[in-house]
Amino acid sequence: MEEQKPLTAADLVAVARLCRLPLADARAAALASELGNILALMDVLDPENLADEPPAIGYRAQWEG
Amino acid sequence: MDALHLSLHEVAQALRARKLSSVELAQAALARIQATEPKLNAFVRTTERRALAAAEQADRELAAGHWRGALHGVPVAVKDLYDMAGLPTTASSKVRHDHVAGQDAACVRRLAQAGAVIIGKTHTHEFAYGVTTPTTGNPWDPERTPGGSSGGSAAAVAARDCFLALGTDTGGSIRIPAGLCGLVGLKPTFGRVSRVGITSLSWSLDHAGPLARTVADAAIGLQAIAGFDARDTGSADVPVADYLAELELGVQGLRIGVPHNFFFAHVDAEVERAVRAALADLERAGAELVDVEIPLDEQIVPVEFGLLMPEASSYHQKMLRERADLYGADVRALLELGEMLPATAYLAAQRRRTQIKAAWQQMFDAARLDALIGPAVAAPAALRTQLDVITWPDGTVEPLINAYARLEAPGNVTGLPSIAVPCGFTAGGLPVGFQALGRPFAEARIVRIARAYERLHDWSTRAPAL
Repeated sequence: MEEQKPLTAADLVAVARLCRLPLADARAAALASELGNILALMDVLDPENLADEPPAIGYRAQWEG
Repeated sequence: MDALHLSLHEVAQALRARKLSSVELAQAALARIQATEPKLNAFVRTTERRALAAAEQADRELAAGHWRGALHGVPVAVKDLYDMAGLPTTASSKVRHDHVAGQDAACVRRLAQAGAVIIGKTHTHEFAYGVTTPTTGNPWDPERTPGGSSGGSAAAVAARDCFLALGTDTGGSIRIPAGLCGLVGLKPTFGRVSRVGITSLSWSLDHAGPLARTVADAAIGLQAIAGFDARDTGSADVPVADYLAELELGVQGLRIGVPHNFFFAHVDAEVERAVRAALADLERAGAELVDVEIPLDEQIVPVEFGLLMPEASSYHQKMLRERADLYGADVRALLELGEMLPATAYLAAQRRRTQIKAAWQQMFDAARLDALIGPAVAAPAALRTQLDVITWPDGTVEPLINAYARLEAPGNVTGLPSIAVPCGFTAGGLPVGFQALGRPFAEARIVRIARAYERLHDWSTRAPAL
């Protein structure tokens, strides 16, 4: 697996462009480490053990029935 | 005694017996708000004209012998995420400065049908996306946060501005302010209360519910707003129970799970002591305490944020492009970050949620639990000047949003009902609470457990000195 490098402001500007989200360089710099932290948190959701678990379709009545 | 210091249950009896008029009570509440607002700033606005009209109608009906129930003629408030026809729903945001609701939210309508007198709309952390409600002070110490996001609702109830207030809870936003303000906060089962007309934060995690000073009062509030609503695609078509039916039955023979992981990790020492003392009280009252392990504990917080952030960013997608400069810095950053999370992370969170729900169901079944108890919030109310991080005794530094929301996530991710209950004060006089999570749609059972504890102490009758 490729080594994860810290996100840079330029990375965020590029991602924001994909999202059609205007993001000034100064804001991107401030958000870069935050996004890195959140993505690291999401790493726990590793799909390794999820092979047969379908996503919940919508959210209707989680406990109904 | 000042009528505003009575419980909702007590004031309802006084109104019914016509020892007190609803108009007098509404006027007293509005005067109380004027007196407390300079310190607290709990309200976005009062709704005096609508309130007095409702109070007059309540009095006319009572004079004619028509009593709608315990909320008849009682002053209540709603978080300013709930639509009220003809009024702005600001969500405590400049983004919404020109928003005006066309009709009442379903819960507002239900409150009105129950005869409640809505006296105002309370502050929220902007768009409910935060846990501190920076606009507002905590009645127990206005220099401290009331918690959030339903901080204005909690401050208003704790300050005796009203008898009950509605909040919303996506990551603890009812239970956190209840815990920090010494109140009872009841987050019902997902789907139990309609969210129609409530500004959303995260569709699959949002819950609506009451904050009140006593367990019975919270149950009365839930009774009024619970029920199926086909317009809310998350609404559950399940019969509404009588939430007061088990109120005084005690805990003899009930089984309460005490987690040895997750709920007591990185918790303030005074909070842990108070919660463990509450558990001992419940055991002495006849409950059986059962050691349990929280399953998939490392997944819970990532799932909460993995669902919440993309859903919130989706809701705000258009506004973020049109009015970005009008958002507060913290909320704007969270919304921008939510757009940059991969879709696969969101789907992984959805898939993990299914696993977590199944694992919790199995935990409840295997241990034959009626409820599971942990702290309502991991730490007491922080100073309003120190809302960024919390430093734990072992030197760990944790963002405050994580520290406050961490123990709430199970209730939102699983959708299970949870009630926050006051269980003491710190040496510095700040409220502490525990939360009891129950089985799906078993709100009456956790209300019963909460009441069994409440009657052992006088926490709910203590009032902040404002």
